[in-house]
Amino acid sequence: MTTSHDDDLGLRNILAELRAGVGVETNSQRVFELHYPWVRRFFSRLGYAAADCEDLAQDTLGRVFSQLESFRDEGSFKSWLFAVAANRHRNEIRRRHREKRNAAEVPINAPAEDGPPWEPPAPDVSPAQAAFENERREALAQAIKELPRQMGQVLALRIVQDLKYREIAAVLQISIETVKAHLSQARQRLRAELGDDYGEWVD
Amino acid sequence: MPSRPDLTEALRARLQGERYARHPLPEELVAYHEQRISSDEADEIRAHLVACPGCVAELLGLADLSEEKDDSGSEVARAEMDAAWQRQRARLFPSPPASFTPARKTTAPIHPAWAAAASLGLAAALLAVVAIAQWRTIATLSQPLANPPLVNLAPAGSVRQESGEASRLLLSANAQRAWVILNPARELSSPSYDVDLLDSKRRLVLRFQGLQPSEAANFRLEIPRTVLPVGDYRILLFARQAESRQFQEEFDLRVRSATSPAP
Repeated sequence: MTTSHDDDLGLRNILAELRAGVGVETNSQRVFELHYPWVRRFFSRLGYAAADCEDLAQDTLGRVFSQLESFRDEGSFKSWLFAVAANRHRNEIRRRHREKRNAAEVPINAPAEDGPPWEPPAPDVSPAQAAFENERREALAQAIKELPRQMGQVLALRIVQDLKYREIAAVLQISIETVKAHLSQARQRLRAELGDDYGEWVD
Repeated sequence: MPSRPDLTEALRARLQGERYARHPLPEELVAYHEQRISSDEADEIRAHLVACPGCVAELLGLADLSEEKDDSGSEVARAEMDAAWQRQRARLFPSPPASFTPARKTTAPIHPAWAAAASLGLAAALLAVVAIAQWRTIATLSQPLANPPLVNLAPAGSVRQESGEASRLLLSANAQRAWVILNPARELSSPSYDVDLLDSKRRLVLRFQGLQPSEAANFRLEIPRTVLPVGDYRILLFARQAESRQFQEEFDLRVRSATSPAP
């Protein structure tokens, strides 16, 4: 079984031959097949439709081949590949924002829209009930604000971004056990300060 | 009864005061992932990530890439991979247009109208030939140089190197670089190696440092033509150990022009 070092050495040899013009087509195909799955999965994770993932992956790998001369052997090829893919993604986002902004322009003589947007009627609550709800939300905001820094970050990634434990650990560079411990302690703190109702949302 | 949106809103309010000034560059995400930045910089990036799902998605993609082994084709069906490669291949190696075939000659009398049409056709054909020739030139110049000159060297004094021809590198006029393969006889056990290229007067022409042997236990040197005028050279191989070098083997190299007769 080859080690990661052997894999890197094999890839470096392939890249060196490519840059020297040796076995261009065979080596290009090898590099493509080694990395196409990850590149396509990268764009899928970022939320692109399947057809767009394929187009963006093709474009990214095309740029890699055309910019191979600028890749320095002392760096990691995978890190460089990631940078090319991430920059392609960011450029695509900027392009789509520009298109959306341009498409949103409306001629000055266009007909007006039909009145203000519809809003649901306010719930039938008493002033006392509304004040009570406001007070609970403020208490919750204060309790969240007082959580220790890393605990608050773990909670935010879990509740707001809906990440898995493994993903939270990777983002914050902590262990999965630490992630679980933070969530458990956050649940206990919120229950202790605000009552049992709040702790149930922290899992 | 509290709602999850209340908790989400409270968490977002907390995050408002901790935003990183800008999205980290991809290179900065790499440095963060590899833990090559200061703790202050890491804290700033972390604070941004907690508030930015886009950058989190990029970072998780990077983590995914760092963890995977060689799984070419493992999650992409073979047929799909082949189709994807063919698409990329068409970008990398575009097919040239069909070659021009001139009209056949005929000895039969030619109608004046036909002669005019043939003349126009010939003129168009000549223009097409010029365009194709220019395209081929551009295509050739834009593609990597295929098959640069290469020589395999065994250590000086070995049986294989008794023949002067075995150490000869022939450089054609349009060669921009050459491959020199060193095949050491001794076992390669050092973490890295240096190679010195000396001319006939023992002057250092080029030095390669920190080389790793290939899987075939040889060293592949890519040498620009500009440092290899015709002449005789000596190549010295050193093993690097901490701050010192230990001589291993030497190789003879004879560079000759491909257009001149070999001595």
